[in-house]
Amino acid sequence: MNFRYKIISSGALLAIALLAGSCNKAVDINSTPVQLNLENVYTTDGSAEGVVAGLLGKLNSFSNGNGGLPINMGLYADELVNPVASAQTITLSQYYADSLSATSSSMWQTLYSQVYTANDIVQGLSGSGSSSMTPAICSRLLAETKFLRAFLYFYLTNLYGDIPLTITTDYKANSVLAKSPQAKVYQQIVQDLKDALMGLPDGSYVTASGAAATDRLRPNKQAASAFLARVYLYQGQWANAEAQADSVIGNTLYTLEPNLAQVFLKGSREVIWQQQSINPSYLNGQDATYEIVTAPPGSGHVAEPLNMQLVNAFDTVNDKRWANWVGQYYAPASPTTPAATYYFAYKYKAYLMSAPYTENIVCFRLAEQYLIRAEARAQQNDLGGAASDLNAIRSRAGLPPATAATQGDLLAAILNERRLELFTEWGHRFFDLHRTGTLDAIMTVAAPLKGGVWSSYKSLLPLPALDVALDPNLIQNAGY
Amino acid sequence: MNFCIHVIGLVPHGLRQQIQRIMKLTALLIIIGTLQVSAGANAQKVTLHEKDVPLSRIFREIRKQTGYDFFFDAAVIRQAGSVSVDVKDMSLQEALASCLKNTSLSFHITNNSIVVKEAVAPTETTRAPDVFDADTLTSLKGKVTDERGAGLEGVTVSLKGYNRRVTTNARGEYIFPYVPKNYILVFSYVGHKTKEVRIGEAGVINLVLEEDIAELDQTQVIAYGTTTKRFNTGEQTTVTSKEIEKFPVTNVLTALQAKVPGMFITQTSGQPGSTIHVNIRGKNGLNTGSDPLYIIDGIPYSGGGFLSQNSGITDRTGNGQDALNLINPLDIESVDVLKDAAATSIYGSRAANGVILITTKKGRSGATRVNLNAYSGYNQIPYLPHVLNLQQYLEMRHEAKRNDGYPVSPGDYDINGTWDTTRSTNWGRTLVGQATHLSNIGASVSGGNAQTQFLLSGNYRKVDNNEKIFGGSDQTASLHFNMSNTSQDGRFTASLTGGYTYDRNNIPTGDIFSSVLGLAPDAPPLYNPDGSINFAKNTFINPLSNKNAINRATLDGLTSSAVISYKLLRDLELKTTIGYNKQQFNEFLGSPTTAFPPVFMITQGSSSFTTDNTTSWSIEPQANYNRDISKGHLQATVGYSLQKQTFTSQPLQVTGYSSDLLLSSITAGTAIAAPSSKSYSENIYKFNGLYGRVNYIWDNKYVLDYSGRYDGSTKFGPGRRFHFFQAVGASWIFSEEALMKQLSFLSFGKLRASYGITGNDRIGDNIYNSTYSSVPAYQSLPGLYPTNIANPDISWETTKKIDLALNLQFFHSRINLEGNFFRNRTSNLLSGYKLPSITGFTTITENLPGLVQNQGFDITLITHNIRTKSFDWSTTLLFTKQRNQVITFPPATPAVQQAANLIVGYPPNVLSLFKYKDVNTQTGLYEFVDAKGRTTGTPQLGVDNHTLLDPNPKYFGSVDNSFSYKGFTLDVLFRFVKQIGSSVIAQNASSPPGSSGTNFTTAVLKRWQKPGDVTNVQKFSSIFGGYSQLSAMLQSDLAYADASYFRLQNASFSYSFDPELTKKMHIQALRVYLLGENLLTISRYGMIDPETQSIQHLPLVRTITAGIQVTF
Repeated sequence: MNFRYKIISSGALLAIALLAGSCNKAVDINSTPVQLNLENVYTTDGSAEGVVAGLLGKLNSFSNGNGGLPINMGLYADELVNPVASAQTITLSQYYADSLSATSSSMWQTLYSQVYTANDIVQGLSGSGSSSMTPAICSRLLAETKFLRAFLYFYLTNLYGDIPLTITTDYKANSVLAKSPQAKVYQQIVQDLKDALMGLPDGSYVTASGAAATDRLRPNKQAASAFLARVYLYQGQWANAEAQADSVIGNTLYTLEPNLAQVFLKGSREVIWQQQSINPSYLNGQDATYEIVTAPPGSGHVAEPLNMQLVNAFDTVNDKRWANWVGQYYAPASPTTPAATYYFAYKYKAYLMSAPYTENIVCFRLAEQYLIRAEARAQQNDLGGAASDLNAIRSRAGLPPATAATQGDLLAAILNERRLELFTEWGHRFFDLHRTGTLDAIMTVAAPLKGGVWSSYKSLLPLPALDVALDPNLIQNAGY
Repeated sequence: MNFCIHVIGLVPHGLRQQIQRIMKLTALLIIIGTLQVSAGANAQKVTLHEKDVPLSRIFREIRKQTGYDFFFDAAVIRQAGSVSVDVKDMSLQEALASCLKNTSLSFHITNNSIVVKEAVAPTETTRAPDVFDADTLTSLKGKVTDERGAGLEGVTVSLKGYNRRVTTNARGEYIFPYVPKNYILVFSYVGHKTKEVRIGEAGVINLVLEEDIAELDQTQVIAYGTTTKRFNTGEQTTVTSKEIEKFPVTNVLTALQAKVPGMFITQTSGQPGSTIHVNIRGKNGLNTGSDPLYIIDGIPYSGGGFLSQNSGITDRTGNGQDALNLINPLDIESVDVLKDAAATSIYGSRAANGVILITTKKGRSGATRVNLNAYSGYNQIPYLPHVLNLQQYLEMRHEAKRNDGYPVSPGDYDINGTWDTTRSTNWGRTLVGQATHLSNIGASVSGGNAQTQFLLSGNYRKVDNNEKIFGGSDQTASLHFNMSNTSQDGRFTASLTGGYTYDRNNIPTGDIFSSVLGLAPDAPPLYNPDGSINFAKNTFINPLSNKNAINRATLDGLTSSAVISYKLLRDLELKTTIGYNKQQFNEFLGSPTTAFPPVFMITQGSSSFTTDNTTSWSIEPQANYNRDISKGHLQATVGYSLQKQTFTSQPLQVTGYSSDLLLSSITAGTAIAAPSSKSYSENIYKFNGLYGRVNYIWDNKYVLDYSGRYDGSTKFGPGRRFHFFQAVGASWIFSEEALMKQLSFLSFGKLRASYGITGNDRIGDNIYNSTYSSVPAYQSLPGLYPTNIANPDISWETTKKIDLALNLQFFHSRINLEGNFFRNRTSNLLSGYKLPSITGFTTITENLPGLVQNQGFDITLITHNIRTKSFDWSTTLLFTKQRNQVITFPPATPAVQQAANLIVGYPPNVLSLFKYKDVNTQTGLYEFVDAKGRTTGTPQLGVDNHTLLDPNPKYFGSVDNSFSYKGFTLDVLFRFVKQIGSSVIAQNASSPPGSSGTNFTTAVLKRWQKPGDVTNVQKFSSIFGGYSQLSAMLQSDLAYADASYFRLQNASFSYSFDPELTKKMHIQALRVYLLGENLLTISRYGMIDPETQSIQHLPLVRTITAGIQVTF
């Protein structure tokens, strides 16, 4: 063996050893700027604020537009009409004909995906990494997120009844969850809202970083109270509902906008919490685009006019809401069809894609709080207090005081007022009918008129078939 | 710089720099041992008293006495054996002469160093005759011709065992100066059998080189090296430039479509530049990418597409721009498709899907040549689906309304009198039915001598939009070059190959083909009498409005690779391949207000901008060892691979332009945001591996090959990144056995087997981690949103491959039969595992237990039916049959089984469908058979979908006949596929036939009309009333049909003029040709292209071109 071989072989061995040693190092990568991960996202104020902003923005996906809850549930109840069935999306047609099936999964999936984000934030901000954040920011973001998680669960349980309650991000545990009873879901909602009350700004609005803001785009303490008032109302806890509504109505930050045209604008003083549209094509919310009729139905532009039952419920002479919140479009006669007038929801008026930014998506507003307190008071037999709250809304609308004298009449009047005040907002009509036990009676009449068949099991929406198949413990809602 | 020196001896200061330079230049990681001895007196006199000692010891002694450094090849010195020397105060010159007098060594003194080398080793092509003493011919010349007597240009004539070679000129002549008698000359030429001739007394050697029809000894490019088909232990198919240039295609993959057994290629659309799907021996994994690994000139290349921002709606090109469009097919010398483990394992982690090696054209020595090639022709949509004519359409619409009991509504412009119901347009013919033009022109210059070769080529191509009415074209300009140099002693070579391509596509977005069906026959005319676009008072969404949309997409591609190699020892070569590739996609989509029908009320234009970049670099040093050991030949390679790939995507959407004229300016809008269809991303993928291969060929009969690779990938979490892949292959060339040699009809016989493990990491980057991506700003703060659930445990998907092959050649290779049996088994299946959406996500990536198998065989039969001096006819038949199935899938729970959607015995992409029964004769609605055998109109997904269909091709192949007569050649290639596909009745059925404003294929005419009708098409409906039955039908076996086809894929006809004739015009070669692609399809599928299987996309075009090729 001569020494050339020794040299070559030892050299080669050395080279191989060096290379092997460097292997592990060479596949190390530093996370790139857009690749935040769980280890680093909740360690700085900026990225944690970003995730909460992301969640707030993502709420858009069920807050408005043609996949949003207001339009879906407006069609499902007796508020909206789907004028050219075949030209609309399948989902909208199914809502309109009350023929939802287990293949539809849009709202369920959207809501749970946001619940996951909320859980992720709650876990992250309670974790050890968050200790490097500014404590005040951390606790406020946590409170905001709990508010939002309650918001998501509120709609989940009202749409689907008993539901799986996920409060962690552990997919292994979550994927085999059974349903929790609605009462338990409400317990979680109330707990989250009570936690939120502690950490949210009181009587003011802020930006992500905590600076004072004029637009009411993030929930504050009053929003949490307003929400709690609604939650207690839905649960029949009248005194609690009254107390929470009280605290909001009593706050001087809020006042019923005398001019109804101002209610849904971004500067509205009636608004307790509103969402910003994040779709770059729509500076404003998209409801206007899908509600305002500007051409005969079927001519390309998708729009859902108002159901004639709702139209007929208005006092078209005196009610200022008719003038301000309902629009009209006259379609001239064609050779085969007579002329027709279409009435449409006109609360949001910015319907062009790139119309200047004037409106936000209103989630909580003061008028609802008056109506909540009215109902809570009526239920507790405070008929005078109830009537005064109801009349606050009526007088703003230019209507005379209510004539109802008995508790029953008053409750009916409040329900009717809610229909006219809150129409096409957040499925209020459907949920009101459901919680007051009047859904079947109303829908049995309304459904055939819009081409559907009503059965009482339809008061809850079907769970997506795939989830039922994948989660061995998840049971489909009865009837589907 | 003299590279022939091996630095083994003593290394003084002055030379260290030179050594370092050598090391740097070759970038080799071999450590060279040095031995330092202090310099003694600089005396010129030498005194030595040594007896029977190695020369190295004497050199060391001289070094000590004189301070001169020695350079020598240790092997050579060792062979010289021991010497004895006894000199006193002798001059250095004389002392050395005395030392070396009984050896075959010579020496040379320069400055302070002494070079000792073998006296007979020639280091220059022209050497002084003294090297070879008396037995040297001062000049040997001759002529090399083919079997027909034509001179062969570029034949390499080399002195066997030495690095001396010359090449023949255009007439096939060569002159070899100073060659030693009794040595052997080797004549080699691409496509011909290599011949060896012993040099005798005569000064002339003329030779006829036989064409090697068996192609057994042609060089085949393999992973990190080359071999020949004879000795290859891996399964691979080589397609050469000769075959590729018969195809008038823009993407080389299209040319491979019928050329490689076991490889299945489908095009997604007839649009120029559209994406092509490649699958080699079936899809192995579940959700991992099945694209093969592309290697261009040794450098990994990311194939696949770039996504348009417009992909949300039906995309212009199906999926985006295919990156392989940036490689001009005419610049490709050969494509090697590597399939089994033995061929691919050395690429380890990315080899599971097979590897496609693309070797671009290189310069060849010989006279400088200029080659011009131009062709021109047209593309044509071969056929359009038959849609309802006006009368049938109106009948459908009214019948639908009658069925539903609905009146004609104000929105039903097509039937309520708004539109002229007596006026009919054939939209297919109007919008897409014209032939469009394509042309290609290329030129190249190449040449060089034995040391230096070069090639420079340029090409321009223009393909017009098939939708002539919309205009626009895809234009590509490309440049390709290669330079290589070999040092005079043949030890050092450096070569640089590169290409730059610029592709510009301004075809309006949106595959308009869907409008062919979409428009009612009585829809208004496209234009008003004044030439403006007609919107018929806002009742007509005119597809032409899209014509005003601006699309400017450019794709730039740079490929470059440098190879530096140095023969350190006669049997050890060090080599480094360095490469850099970059592709950039720039897209500007402008939506002026005029691009929308007025009814959309768009008052401000908007724009989208996309800049996507893929860059990758790689450095791969390797050492190759070649040595004859006993009766065999050993070849060993060890190397290291370091790669980094970066992908960045910067999509922007800008809104709020005050004027349509400003759309191309990003800053002129009022709002800039990330689009919803695509988000900003930056992915870095790093990759490294250590690989090696040992190959031993014993007595030209037995070949044993082992290769392995230790690989790491950043696709997996820390701790799961590395894996070892290996393969072993063996061949037995039994025709070399004495017994077999008696069988005169058998010219070649080889049995081959291989087994190995390859890996697949084709999943998204960062999937092992939970990541957060940007979403649009809320309160001006950009949002973040979790994009996946972390799974730090995911790791490699591995595929074990077995390949058995038999190659038989009979009657002097007139019949060549090759059969392959293969079985790929993939485990640790990386897959998106379905989760219930309550977890927040619908999938998570996991390594699922279970085994997916691809098994099959392929046969290649090449027969040279007629082979005479003037007429040749040969036939190539390819046949591949394969089956993909899940072998085991241990189900933890039924939910897991359901989650993975895997069924044992069926392929992973099995279609689980409802069982279609009939159309109810009373209601006219579809009916199905549920899980319990009952008839139902509303089968439940997950319960009743028990009819299983395999959507993968059952078998496919091709028949290629080549004829040549004198200067004429004719090549006719047929291709066939046996498969099922989405049936015609299921196409465009997302809305029911009869619903507003949409036309349908004539397949719907057989619909149910009245009670008692027996048919397979349910009644017309204008609403979604019959929807659930319709959507169930789309998920039933009725929605699938036999989509097998037999296609005249390609025909080429060419005529080469007699060289004697063209010579007078100073033209070396002149050829004219006609090429045709996709000429005829025979299929029972009906009215839709059985390959794209989509009525939404343009069918594949028929291309016919005529061209001319001139070589000066």
